[in-house]
Amino acid sequence: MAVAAAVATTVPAHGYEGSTTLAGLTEQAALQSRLHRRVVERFALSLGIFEPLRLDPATLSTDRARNLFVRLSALDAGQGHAPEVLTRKGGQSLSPLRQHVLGWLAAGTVLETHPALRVRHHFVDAKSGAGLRRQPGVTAAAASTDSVQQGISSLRQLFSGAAMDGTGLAAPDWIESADNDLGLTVFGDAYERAVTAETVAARETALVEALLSAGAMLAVLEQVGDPAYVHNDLHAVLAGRYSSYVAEHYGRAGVPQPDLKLELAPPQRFRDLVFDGKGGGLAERTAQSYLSTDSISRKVLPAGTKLVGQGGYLSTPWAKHWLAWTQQRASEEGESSHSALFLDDRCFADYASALLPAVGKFAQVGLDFLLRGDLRLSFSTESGLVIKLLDEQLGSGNLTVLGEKASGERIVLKTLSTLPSRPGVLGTVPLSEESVKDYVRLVVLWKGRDHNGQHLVTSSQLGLRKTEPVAPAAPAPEAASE
Amino acid sequence: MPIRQNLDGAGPPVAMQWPRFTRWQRLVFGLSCWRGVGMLVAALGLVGALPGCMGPVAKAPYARRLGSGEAGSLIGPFDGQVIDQSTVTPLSSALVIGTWAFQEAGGIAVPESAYSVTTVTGSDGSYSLPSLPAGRQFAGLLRRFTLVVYKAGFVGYRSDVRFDDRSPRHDFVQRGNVVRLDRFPQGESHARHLVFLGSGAALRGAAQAEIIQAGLELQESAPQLVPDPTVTLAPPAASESSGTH
Repeated sequence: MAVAAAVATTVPAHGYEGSTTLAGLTEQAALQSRLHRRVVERFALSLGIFEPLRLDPATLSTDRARNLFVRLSALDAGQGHAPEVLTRKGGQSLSPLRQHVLGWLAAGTVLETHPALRVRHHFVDAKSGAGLRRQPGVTAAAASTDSVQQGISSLRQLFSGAAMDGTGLAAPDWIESADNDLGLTVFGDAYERAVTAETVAARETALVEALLSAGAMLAVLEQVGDPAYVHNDLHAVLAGRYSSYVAEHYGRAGVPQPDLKLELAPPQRFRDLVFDGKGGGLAERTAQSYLSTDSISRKVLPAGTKLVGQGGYLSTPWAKHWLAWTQQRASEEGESSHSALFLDDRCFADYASALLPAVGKFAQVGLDFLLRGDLRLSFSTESGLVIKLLDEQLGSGNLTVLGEKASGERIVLKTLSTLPSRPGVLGTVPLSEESVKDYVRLVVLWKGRDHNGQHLVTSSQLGLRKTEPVAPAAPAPEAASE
Repeated sequence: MPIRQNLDGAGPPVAMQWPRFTRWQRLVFGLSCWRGVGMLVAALGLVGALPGCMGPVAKAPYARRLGSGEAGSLIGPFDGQVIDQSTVTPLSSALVIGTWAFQEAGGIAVPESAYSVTTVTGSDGSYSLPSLPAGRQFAGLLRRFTLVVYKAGFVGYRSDVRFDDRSPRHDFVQRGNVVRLDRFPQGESHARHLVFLGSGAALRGAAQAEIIQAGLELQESAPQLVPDPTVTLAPPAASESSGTH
């Protein structure tokens, strides 16, 4: 008889929990970033990060729409990032979803942990830069079976050979992987469509996709702020004691703000924020200072450390309770007593209070990096459309100038190639009043490589009606706007 | 063979006795009995699946009642009262949202589904949320229940975290919960307040005015973009390659 009494279960989180810790880190990072202004200036969304956007499944491929819909429908509405399900129109198999900009970004962060198999790609060894690897003596078959038991893989995946075999891509490689449906490549493509797609619905959906991808990449970055992910410590990830502590004590809404005092050099690549091989990545910083429960051995103790007494804590400048230890008696005659090293809740409390603000800062820098390259447009009858580059040195690329009609439809007006540029005038596009008279807005997309050779897509827009003179002395240039 | 009793009055009544069955009759009878037992078991199982019997449930991080020491239940029901902290009077028409979140059982913390109910407080400030419906109780591991209370002009309430210092909330209880709302302080960030609360559809609807205020606030306070660089009148780097006008 399948009558199972309700049993209160203590539930470990595995890695920073997506719905709470990771989503909270992303939200706090976004509030400190330039996301709000960029959304306003690039996409003319006046409410910025609180502007509602619709994901219209009809503008996506069936598989992509269904995949996103299923994963988004699972999100916790109590944490605020679950999108609202709108009424389905006739002929549509999936309902449109609505959420504001910040909510989509946080939703992307949670989606990076769904399905669980993605977690295999969140590891990076802080010394070698390698991804998750099996412990010596563990076979792929044993690791796959374990992953089913742990709920990371399904039985179906086990029999089809797709179960986690104890290995994974390194986190920076996963971000750039073509197999990552929420990675850097998808972000760039989606951003481009968010500007150039013909219809409003397609552009909004593409912007949602870009935000989901950005949020997911931030999740990968944030995860390496958990010591288990940088010590190749899958067991600690699955045991989840540290991450459970963080989820329980901070939730989503209690995650602290990014550490504003922490100064980070602008990265050359997004992946450098995760791991740069020079000690500047979050993974390296985490590994250098913090331990995970299963990576602790005598080797972690500084040379000459003597543990005196029955037990206590070792301290560092960044954590008063860095490592706990207790003297264990010999279990058998002839055995000498030895000290056991471990992490307890006091250690976790110190780790979290130091790590979370730093992780938030990395996430904020990461978000600003993804949306770097601000442009500003001005239009006059004398010089046409002038495109200024504000903050980034660009390599060569292509400019696409589009006109937006009152109906929302966008049409390509010009395409130009640009040479490497410093902040200043990026280009001037000769457009007459006559040529823009049918449009309410001019939009520019720049796509190319930055001065570090990294792919970059950026954009700006200019409402043409705002340029109309309103002073009574000025003649009304109706011809320019009609 | 039917059970009979001699009622013709011609003689003493015959004592009722169990009939004799053939082997096949016994088999059919036995099977039908077992089928009945099976149905009974199934029915009991179905009844058992109703409140109190369900899939795995995480430990509730709150008590059933204030000071009772009895552990609360994530399933519910939940009730309480919303009051204005400054006047200690009940607040009517406050929006109350309860959300149950499920995650996939037995593995990494992956969201599985969620279920929300919404109500508003009555004239006495009271609210009542029913237990998680029986049909939703097998969705996966019931991971958490979150209560959010919103009233325009007041600092909102979350059952897990406090707004003032973002510390874990320890005074939420399942039954007889008292929600004290402070007036929204001048100078407090609407953007941070909205992020704190979360952004469910019902809340977004109720907080429209505050969302606009938050947007305006961020226009003032959000980190600036780099200002316009000094424009040198060097020849522009662009060279027209094609046009599709």
